[in-house]
Amino acid sequence: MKLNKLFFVGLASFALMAAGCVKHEVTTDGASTRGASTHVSSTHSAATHSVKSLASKPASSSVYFAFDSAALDAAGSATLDGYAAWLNDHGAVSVTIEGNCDQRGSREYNLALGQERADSVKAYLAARGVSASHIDTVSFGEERPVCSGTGEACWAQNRHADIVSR
Amino acid sequence: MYRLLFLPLFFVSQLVYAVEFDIYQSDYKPLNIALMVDASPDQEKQQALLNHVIKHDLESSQSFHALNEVGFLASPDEVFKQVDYDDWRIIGADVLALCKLTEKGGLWHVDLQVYQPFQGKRLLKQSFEVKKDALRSLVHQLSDQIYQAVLNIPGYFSSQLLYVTKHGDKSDLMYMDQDGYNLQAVGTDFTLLLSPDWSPNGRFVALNTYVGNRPRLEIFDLVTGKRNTFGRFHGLNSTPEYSPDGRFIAATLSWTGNSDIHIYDIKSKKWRQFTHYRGIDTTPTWSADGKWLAFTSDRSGSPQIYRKPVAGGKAQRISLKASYNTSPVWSPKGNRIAFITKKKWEYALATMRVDGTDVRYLATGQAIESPSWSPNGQMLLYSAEEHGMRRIYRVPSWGGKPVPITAANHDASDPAWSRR
Repeated sequence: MKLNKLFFVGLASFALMAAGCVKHEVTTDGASTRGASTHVSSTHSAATHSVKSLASKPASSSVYFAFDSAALDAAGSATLDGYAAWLNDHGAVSVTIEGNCDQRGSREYNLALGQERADSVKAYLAARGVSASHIDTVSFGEERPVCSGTGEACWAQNRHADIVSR
Repeated sequence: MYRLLFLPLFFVSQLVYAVEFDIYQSDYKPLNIALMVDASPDQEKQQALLNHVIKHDLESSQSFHALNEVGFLASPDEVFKQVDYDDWRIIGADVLALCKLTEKGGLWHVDLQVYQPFQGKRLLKQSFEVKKDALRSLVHQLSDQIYQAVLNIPGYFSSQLLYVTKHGDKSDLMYMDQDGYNLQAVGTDFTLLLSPDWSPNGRFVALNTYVGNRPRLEIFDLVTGKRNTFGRFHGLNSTPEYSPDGRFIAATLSWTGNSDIHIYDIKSKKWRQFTHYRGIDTTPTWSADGKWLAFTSDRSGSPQIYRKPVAGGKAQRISLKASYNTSPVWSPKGNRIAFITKKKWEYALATMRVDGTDVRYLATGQAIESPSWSPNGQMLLYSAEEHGMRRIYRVPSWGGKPVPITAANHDASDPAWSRR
């Protein structure tokens, strides 16, 4: 009986180790996101640059997030710098920022998290001179996944905020 | 060589799934009930209905086990004249319930008697009358009476459920009796439909839907089918929850710049802000006495459950274990809170005392969501995903077997149990 229990504990801890490996990949992803968001302030040159020649509309209008986070990473900030420049050159354009989440965690909590992502993008654009009255926000939580499968590759695509002009 | 490799791997995959949560199991043994329904031969159909529905109600509570009538030692004629307790003790009947159905002046009439053979005691003798088209609802009342007479807890068999089913981009609001009968769509073609909550009087449903890609809060009238918008602010309008007296609805709004709990006064149509935290506060739930609101907040860095007096005061953290605790729902008795918890990437439905102690894990699974209490606090509904399809399950709050109550090929989420 006791031996049996030990056997199971052994297996369980092996299982935990295996699970730990998978989780490690996820956390590194999140950690790099947080680290990168510190040099956001150095990107102000993009806005000054746009004074000389009219900024073209950025190719990407989506920014991506880590699990349970609304913090912008370096790639996201770069995308938004471009977008802020374009919006500042086209003062009449109104946009809506749509926040989305992956399918993990509570759906109701994810609605709030999606909103926080949209609000975080709005705050970033507003800080770069875009009029807050031209920016609306909406959250779809995890209700409108881009990718409906499982696995980090799929979930990562679903943790995004999109800038939409209609 | 092959065998050596295969065996350990097989065990590991079994263990990974159940390793995080120790499922709470009570040592409660269902009571054996002998049910005897007597009716005249031309009422065979109604007699079968009584037999079937009462047994199904009581067994689905997992508090009773119905004995097969093949083993009964006495005939209806004998029993309805005189109950001999020995006849029932021998077959191990903890409870004996007798129903006599008659038709009187265009009404159904039922005499109900409930006995405890081992105690040699009659618990109940009562008569019921109902219009001819309402026999099924009377039968649920009989189940309620038997349940209460034996367990001293009100039954929940006359209650109803709501849930949401999604087809493509549209969602319908579904309604059914607690036993799955009477299933119908009461509201159709919503663009997203989340968090329906039943008003205490059973007439209205507060819900979150989207119109023109904007979320709003609506009150849906189950009698007229009318939809009234009561929350349409910038940003989030979500998770409406009626106060126990039906006067207020707590919900999540984000027009202030972040998600906070706000309270709507139904009579004056005025909102007031209840929480003031710069991060996320959401999913409010009222205590049974209406004096507290519990909610999910990420103020400690991860989603955790807090409570705060409705009259004002400091928010106190309740959930102590695990790094991800959401979706609190206060029990109708007020002594426990159901919630969803996550360890590693495994989710569970759990309950805890209002101080966060005595956590009981009731069910694990994929994408577990939306706990909802039965009116008597003995059962919980939740949704879980199976092979990519969401289903609604029911589990005793005291520990028991989770049982699916919606079909395997039909999407079902956001269950809401009527409050009575």
